[in-house]
Amino acid sequence: MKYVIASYALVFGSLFIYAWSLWRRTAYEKACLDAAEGKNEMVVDNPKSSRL
Amino acid sequence: MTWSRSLGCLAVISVPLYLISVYLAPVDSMQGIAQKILYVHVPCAFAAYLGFFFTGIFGAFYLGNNKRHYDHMAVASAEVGVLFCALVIVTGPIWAKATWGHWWSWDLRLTLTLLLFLIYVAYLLLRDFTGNDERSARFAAVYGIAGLFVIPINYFAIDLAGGRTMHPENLKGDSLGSGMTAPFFLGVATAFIVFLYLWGKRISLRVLQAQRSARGAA
Repeated sequence: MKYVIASYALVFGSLFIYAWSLWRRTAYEKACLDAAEGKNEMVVDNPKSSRL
Repeated sequence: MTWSRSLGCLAVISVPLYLISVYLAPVDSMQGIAQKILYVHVPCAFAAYLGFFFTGIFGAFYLGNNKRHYDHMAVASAEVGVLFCALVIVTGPIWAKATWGHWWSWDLRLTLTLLLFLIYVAYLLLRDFTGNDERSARFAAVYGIAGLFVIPINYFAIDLAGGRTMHPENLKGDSLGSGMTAPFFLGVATAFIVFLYLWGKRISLRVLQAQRSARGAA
């Protein structure tokens, strides 16, 4: 049983972490593009910004 | 609603359904409960094949049309394919330990799967190390197409070895016992949905990164 649980936890855990990293990096890139367009100038320099 | 959001919603519905069907699936009389690992191992393998197939196909489209979007699609599918292939390489030995009593055997199918994984890891390294110019994109596209030939060899490895392998045979019409079809096919459908969702997200990210670097260069 432990092998089965380990396999499923590993697969879904890895996929979720990868999806999470994609969401975070996408938000970061959008914030950078917005900042470059002058829409959101505080984002790039402010490490406390929730969008980073 | 966008494609990405639709696929995300579909994944949120299909994952619990799939897990419930795995839980309710009968326990195999020969392998015991460890057989349930195959409901996640095989779908991950199919998703990895799909990723590598897309890498070759969209690489070919890029060579034909020279449209940058096809290159983004090829690289994104290689990355998601490598992730699924890594999961195949990890879940396979867990099943082997529970069933064979040891983690790994240098069996033809296992070795070819490791080779397939390394081919596409090398593809990603090539893209990262050679920059993002047109020349390296075209070279990587050719490499991705060449990698396509390993997929059928990997899939038919057991037949090529005349069945003299430790790895179980590919599924045939009557391979699955009663009650095992639903979790298997739900697993394959879920893996494809999750693959397409992640692929779409990775393409969007590459497009954004390209836009930002183009702005930086301007």
